[in-house]
Amino acid sequence: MPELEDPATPAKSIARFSIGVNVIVQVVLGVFLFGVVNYLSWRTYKRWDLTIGQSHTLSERTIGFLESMDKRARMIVLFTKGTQLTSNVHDLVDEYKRYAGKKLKVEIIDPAREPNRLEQIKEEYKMQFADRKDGVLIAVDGADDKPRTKFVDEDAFFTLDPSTGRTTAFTGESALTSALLAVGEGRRRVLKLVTGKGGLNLGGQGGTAMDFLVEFARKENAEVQTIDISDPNADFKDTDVLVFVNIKDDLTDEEVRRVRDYWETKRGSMLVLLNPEFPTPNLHALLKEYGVVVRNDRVLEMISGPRPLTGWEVTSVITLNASVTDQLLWGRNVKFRGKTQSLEIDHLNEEELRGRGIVVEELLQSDDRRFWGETDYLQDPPVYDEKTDSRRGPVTGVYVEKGVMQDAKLRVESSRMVVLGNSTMLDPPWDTASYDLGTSAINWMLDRDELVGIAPKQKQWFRLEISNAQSERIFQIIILALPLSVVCFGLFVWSVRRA
Amino acid sequence: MRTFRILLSKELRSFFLSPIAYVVLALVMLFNGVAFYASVRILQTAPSEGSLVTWTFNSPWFYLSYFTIFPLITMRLFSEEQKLGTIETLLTAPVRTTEMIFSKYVATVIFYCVLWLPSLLNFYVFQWITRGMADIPTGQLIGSYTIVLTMGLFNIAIGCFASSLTKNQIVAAILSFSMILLHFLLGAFMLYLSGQSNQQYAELTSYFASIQHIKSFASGLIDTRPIIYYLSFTALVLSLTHQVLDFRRWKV
Repeated sequence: MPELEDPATPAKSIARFSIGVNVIVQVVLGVFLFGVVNYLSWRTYKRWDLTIGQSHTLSERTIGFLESMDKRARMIVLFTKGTQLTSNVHDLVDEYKRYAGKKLKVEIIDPAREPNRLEQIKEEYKMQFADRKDGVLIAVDGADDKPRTKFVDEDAFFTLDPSTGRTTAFTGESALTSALLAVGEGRRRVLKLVTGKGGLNLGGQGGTAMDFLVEFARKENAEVQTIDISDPNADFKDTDVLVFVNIKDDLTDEEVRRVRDYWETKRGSMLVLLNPEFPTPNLHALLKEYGVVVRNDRVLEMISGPRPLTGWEVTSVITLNASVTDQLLWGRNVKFRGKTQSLEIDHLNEEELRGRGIVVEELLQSDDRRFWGETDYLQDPPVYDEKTDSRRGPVTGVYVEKGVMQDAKLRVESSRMVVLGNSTMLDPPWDTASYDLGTSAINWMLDRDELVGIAPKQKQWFRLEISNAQSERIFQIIILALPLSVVCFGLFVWSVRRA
Repeated sequence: MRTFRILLSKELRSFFLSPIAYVVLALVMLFNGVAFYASVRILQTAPSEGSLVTWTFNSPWFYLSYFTIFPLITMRLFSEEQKLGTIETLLTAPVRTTEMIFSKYVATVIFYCVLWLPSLLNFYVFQWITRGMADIPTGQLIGSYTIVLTMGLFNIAIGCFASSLTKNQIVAAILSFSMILLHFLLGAFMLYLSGQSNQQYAELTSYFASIQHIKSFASGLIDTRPIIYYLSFTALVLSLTHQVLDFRRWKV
């Protein structure tokens, strides 16, 4: 019979000390691991932007620009905390830092809470900021180790609807990228508006494409100057874009020569917004030299039925693959509110144009089922005539590039031009597509391809217009019926279990 | 795994066969319903940049339900076992401490998800009544429920830990409520202080400021940093719970 274990044998003692040490080591290791994981997560993270309009996502252009930035930059964010705009700016700057890495140093200062630091910054950069204006100070290392700076004030970060006073779009990305680019470029780009040809009231209270140019200049680090091309000493030097808006008086031969000389020999850029009300044959002839035929017609809409023709409004679509803009804008509609002339590419001389290194492309085309170019636009009612009128779906905008190179790096030597059938597309109030197209087109002409396609982030405003009956039903179902049904079910479960 | 499944189904039964669960569910539905209805009223009054989702998940009623849920659903997890003396049976049974903790934790998480499902239903009821008149931004909805789930995982872990510390359910509830509130307020307070300090500190505080996470996710911006933070913190707190329960095995 096997010997039974002695029941009096004492139980094996527990090594409490070693277990205690083991527990402490485990806890310390756990905390260490927690720290390491979070440190790595802080350094390397991923974001998914599911917001409306991808408001936290930088455009590919900006990302490309930041990644290829070869100078060290500093961004000092001077926004008073606690507002939606400040929060948007902080998020935006966070993204800039993420993509630029160590090349961009960001400092966030609340001017209201940190006046001393603000004074230090003012002293350091020898700058005077506008009183009570928030903004972002950008400093980029210059060639002589002196930083070049630019202060982007808060107005450049949003657009307002003047009628409601509401923010319609957040334009921070284009403001910051253009400022970074401009500080890197070293000088402000100049848009020269042709004056002395009538058609534009410079002192007027808004309402013209001039407002667009001013708005563009303010946000995209450029300035608007005027130029009188009739003056033999007119200075085309430093003219980055020559702008014709709505001119009434035609160019003289001498003026045509000067403009041609500027455009062809000085890597010029021109934005031509035609005025269909006044004949300008010399200007049209100049445009024809570059393959743009301005037709003597008006774009009209086909309206069937008894409804009379009441307006001249033309809707045009931004053509696909237009290099003037980014693909985000391709296929979107813009509106011309006044009388519009149709344009045509001079296909007859295509060979000759190609030989001169000129490429002409359609930028805007109206719907071929709705619009046609009527030559006899005074007849009532106007009727489409296949022989005399321009084809259905007329072109209302074209862009021209001379000296175009396949290699994008060599393209800086090319001359660029955008021609639109009238100037009202850029008259305020701008719809989003018109504003974005205008901005993209000018940036394209300024050879700032990095900025082409940085669309403002549209703000969406929510409002519910529901009836009182609907509101009551929501209350009854959500606050009364649903919770009560759950309580009843709970009572049922309880009673079943008790039974 | 089999033991885990058995324990999990036992825990789920104890949740769903108790009338208290339905009272909690009704209470949470009421709070969320009020948060939702208040948001509808706000958007009826004036146009706003915030959508129905943003307003709902930033409403005081949302925070009320958020802070109430966790103590209520976690207070009994280990305290009850300790009070009834069944914890000794569990600890001496062929059941690992990890299995015990995870079964209770997962069951609570499932119950927590059930608590939030009706709030999702609110949006569909709204769509149905208004015949789809207002768009519900899907991205914001996904972001909101992601953060509610992630923060829920973390807070339930805190509740488990609090419940493992005491045999009194009320004390466990107060403990977990205090810890959750402290974490939340600490983040909010440091976020406030970050306005007066340097960028590095500001970034650090926004890393664990729950209020910031809710705002950001509710706007539709999903970021891995808060998710990793809450998940790793959950793992840490659960491992502490494990140590607390294991302590009973070798204490004097």
